[in-house]
Amino acid sequence: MNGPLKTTTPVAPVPAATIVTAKTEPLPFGRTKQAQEAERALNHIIDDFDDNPKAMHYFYDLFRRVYCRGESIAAAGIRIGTTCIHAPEELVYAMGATPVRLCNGSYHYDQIGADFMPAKSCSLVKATLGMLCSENPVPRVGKLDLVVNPTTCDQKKKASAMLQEMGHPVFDLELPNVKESEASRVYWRRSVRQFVEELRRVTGRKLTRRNLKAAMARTQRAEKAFRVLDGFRRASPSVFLGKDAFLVVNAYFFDELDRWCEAVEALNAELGERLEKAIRAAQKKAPRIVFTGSPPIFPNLKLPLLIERAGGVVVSDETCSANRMLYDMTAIDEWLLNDMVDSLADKYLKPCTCPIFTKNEDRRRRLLELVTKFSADGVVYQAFAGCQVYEMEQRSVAQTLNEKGVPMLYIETDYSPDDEGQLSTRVEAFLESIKTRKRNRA
Amino acid sequence: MKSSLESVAAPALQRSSVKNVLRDAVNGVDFNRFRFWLQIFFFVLLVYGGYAGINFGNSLPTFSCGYNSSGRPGVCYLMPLQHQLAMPWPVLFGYAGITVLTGFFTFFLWFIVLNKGWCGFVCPLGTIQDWITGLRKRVGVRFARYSHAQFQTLSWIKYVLLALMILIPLGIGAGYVSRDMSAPFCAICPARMIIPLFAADFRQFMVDFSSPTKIAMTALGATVTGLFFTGSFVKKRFWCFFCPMSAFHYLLSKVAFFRLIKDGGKCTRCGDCYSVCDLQIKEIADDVKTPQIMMDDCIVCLKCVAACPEEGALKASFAGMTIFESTEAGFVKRMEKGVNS
Amino acid sequence: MKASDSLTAIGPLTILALLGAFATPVLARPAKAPTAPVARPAPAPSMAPRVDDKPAPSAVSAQLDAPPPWPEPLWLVDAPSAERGSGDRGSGERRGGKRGAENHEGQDHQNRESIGAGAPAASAPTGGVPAANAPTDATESVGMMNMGHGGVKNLVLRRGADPANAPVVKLGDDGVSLQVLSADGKRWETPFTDMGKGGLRTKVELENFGFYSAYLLRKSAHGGVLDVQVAQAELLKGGMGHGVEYDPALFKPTLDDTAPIELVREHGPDERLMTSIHSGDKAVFLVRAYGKPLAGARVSLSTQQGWRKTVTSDQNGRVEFTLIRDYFPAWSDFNRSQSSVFLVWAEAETPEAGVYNGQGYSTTRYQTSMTARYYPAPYDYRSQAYALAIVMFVTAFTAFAVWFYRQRRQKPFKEIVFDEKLA
Repeated sequence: MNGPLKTTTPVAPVPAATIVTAKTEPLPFGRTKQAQEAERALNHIIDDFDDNPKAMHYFYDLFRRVYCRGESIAAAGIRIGTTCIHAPEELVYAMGATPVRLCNGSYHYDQIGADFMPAKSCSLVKATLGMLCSENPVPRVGKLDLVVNPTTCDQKKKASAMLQEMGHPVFDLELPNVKESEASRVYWRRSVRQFVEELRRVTGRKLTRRNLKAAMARTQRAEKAFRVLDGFRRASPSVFLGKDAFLVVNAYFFDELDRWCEAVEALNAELGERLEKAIRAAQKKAPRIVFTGSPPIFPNLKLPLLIERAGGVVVSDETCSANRMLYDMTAIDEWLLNDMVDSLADKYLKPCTCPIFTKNEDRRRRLLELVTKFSADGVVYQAFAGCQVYEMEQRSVAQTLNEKGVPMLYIETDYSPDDEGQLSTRVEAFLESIKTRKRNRA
Repeated sequence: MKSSLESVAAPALQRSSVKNVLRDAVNGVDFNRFRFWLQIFFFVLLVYGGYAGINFGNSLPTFSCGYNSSGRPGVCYLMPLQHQLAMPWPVLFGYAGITVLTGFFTFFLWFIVLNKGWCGFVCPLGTIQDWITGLRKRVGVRFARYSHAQFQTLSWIKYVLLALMILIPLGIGAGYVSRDMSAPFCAICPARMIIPLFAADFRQFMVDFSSPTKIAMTALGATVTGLFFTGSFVKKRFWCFFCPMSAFHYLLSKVAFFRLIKDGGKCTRCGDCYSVCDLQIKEIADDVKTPQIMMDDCIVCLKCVAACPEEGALKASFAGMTIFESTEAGFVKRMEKGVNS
Repeated sequence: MKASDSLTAIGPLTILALLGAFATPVLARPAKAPTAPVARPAPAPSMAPRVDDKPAPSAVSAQLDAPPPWPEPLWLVDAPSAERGSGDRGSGERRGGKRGAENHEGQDHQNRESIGAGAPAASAPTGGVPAANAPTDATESVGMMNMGHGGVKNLVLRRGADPANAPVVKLGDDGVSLQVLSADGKRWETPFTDMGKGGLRTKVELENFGFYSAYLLRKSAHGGVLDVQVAQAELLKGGMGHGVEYDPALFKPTLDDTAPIELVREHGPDERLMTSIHSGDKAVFLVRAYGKPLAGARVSLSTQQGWRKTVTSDQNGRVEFTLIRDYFPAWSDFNRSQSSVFLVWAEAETPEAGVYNGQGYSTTRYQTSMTARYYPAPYDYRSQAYALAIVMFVTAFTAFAVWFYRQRRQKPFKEIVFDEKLA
């Protein structure tokens, strides 16, 4: 019995059929790399900064549940996915459906999308496609009854066919590439009316004055809450940081609308108190930055976080994942359907500063106005590598800002975390130069 | 919600003062209702004021129709202008010229106070059109729009009418044109037939058969009135687009006190102002360079200012002092009211 | 001129007196009262041109028992305007009239100038606005100058009951003048002169806006009767501007409480300073004596077209006439600013006795006259039905066109239109 050899209980031979292969059971979502990516980002957002507003915990909690734990936030009823802010969400709400914005910020999905997308593609499109070809992707918004794909940039346009191949029902919402002409206005109004028809087919409901008014009341509440929040960002020194602002609007993509409004209203109340009590989120000398360009979407809040960790404050932005999503408000003259729908259509087209249009005068003016209104010291321009339109506009924007003496930092990046080190150096240098300028001027 | 837009809009500036409270109240006013009641007030004044013995003279820059002989508190300047220009030339260019000049000067003085705001707030015919528009909204019929090309072409008509309004009386004075064509614009103006109706005066609602010229002019007037009814039913402020008084105003408007000012830098070109504009003026939305943004068709109804969500992008100012400007808070309040209506 | 006139008048006058002497009993017999109705056929009376106002040879008439007939009314009318070819619708040519003149051609210097239609001499334009606010409307194109509202009036004196055939008059004595009375009580005189056109004319200049009353008073005693003849004129300086149209004090007629007999034209309730009378209107007059209403006066109205009516004033001194419509030219000749004159005169007799110019009289006969111009009735050339028809047709047609256009747009393009009925 003593001996080097231990006797083992004899094991019955395992039948081949039950041999477990190297592929193990799927991990619980919370432990996947994707979840960890989100968790890491969220932790940076929360922990790297002191004294976050208490009302922000709703949003931290929301992202933790949705992105880190993979909880379902599928809305009941018909779900309409949108790939761009040009799709009029009021109409979706009016027809009793729920819109959900699908633009994705996860590096995990970016890598999945890279398998079938060209190498030089925009990360955002890759990530979105990667998400939509995955089964039960996170955020778990549920099965989509329709995907509305406005014909904006090249990559999104071509993605339409790919989405259809993936099995999603897709509706191409025809957006003109020129927004100044009368023809484009008429064209877009017709497109929106076509969209209503499509929604009617999908939901089986008709658009009526009452349901459109009710839908507009809800989105109006969101727009108003956002404007109040935006107003707080003008305070100097800041009471509210950009990373939180991005998070709040990113939540709008998928959160339940009325609940989101309540949370923002609570946040606004708290910010009001903070303002009175002079509780500041950043130092007085912190450089104030306007962020523009390709949209940072959670978990890819890399660049705004870098700026704020380096001591700056993102006081405002000109991106479609934050400011542009909720800033413009619709004015209605006659509360009759034909006028309401046309006015809505105009709102989605005319003030839009997306670079997919031929001219970008409005964007440049908007940037200058934001710099003035928010007392900003500089602009950080992010362009995703592969985003042709933002990359091409960089020149004219730089020129305009230069003429007005506003310093600009242009950064080309993507979703991968590898360039964080290099970026942080550049950002810190930029912020330093701003501080020096301010000191010299003073 | 505890915090409101009013207190947040410009945190650095907010100090509660009487001036700010007043300004916020004005900028946040229920603009449509305010305008509705102001228009009624002016309508009663200009259609029935004569009964109270009110007399503002013969040079009013708005349609206080002279044919409403008992009710009018003064006469629309176009009528005396046409009669004066029809005087024989030796008289017109002789001693009567002074009368013409004083009449015009009085008109000018009245005009520069409100600029084209006379059209948007005071003119009784404009008010009638707004009432007809209200009726259409109640009935649920959608409004009509001119296409851009139609807009450009039709926009000339008011200048043509203005020119004819001046040339035909001069022709009468020179003897080339029959005297039956005197006051040619009054003959075709819909206000001539319509405004006296409000004073139970049906005398102008007629076709005059006493001479071929008269038949033509009064029949044309009846036709224009018929067009007016349908036109103002489907198109907001239909007549104002063709009104020679509007053209006349515009030619004098550079020096007026009351102005519509746009700050192009603040404009996001969202087009809300264009959406609500009764006259379909594109420049209000698209032009971000011109500060004095009142165009020739503009009636200064200030609906655009009320519908602009950007702080300070559009302003109505009197002699440099801002009276009413676009504010975020005011916009939200008005749109909330609308959506809940 | 006057002396020879009187001399040449003696002859016909004698014949006339003899005729009258024999005619009067014949004519007077059927009449019961001395105040015989005046509705006599035209001939003899209108024959009296340029008769001296000296008493007729009293010898002849004194022999008769019957009182002399009522004299032809003397009246004042605005002189015709020479401007702008305003037509004359009252001239005798159209009517091929029975003119007394034809019987006396040799003596004929009768200045049968037409009364004419249209304005008195033009007044300075006040640059105001001619818009009618009379009881019935005249159109805007009949300017102030054409409507007799100017501030300078040229009046001419005529005699006769038929305005179409009444010649101008020359009264014998010098110094005949017109009394003018203004609303604020001022009185002044303007002299009658011949002005190179024959007849008696005078020019009145009115300073302020409003209604003035002017009259010429003649007395003559013969045959035991004192005839007091008054020729009145209501003069209006009308206009717009200067706030006058809002001063009600200016709208009233000017009254003379010292007049032994007075005709007052009653103004309409809406009448202001732009009076215009039209065919079909009611012309209302008040007869007063020394400021008090005179009942039982005989009031007659005659028009240039030969229509005449006589009524008696009621206890308030009031009479009412409805002007007949009498302008029916060929359509292409129609002129809406064609004016015509009507003559109104009132007669009353009282048993006042006395002596005048050496003549005794036992009764006094008062007679006063007034003229006015009237224009074609607007409803004769204006049609509200046509206007309503045109307006309704155009409205309906364009509404249908818009509707049809909207319907059609839906099909080819498949325009999507929302149904507003869904609340």
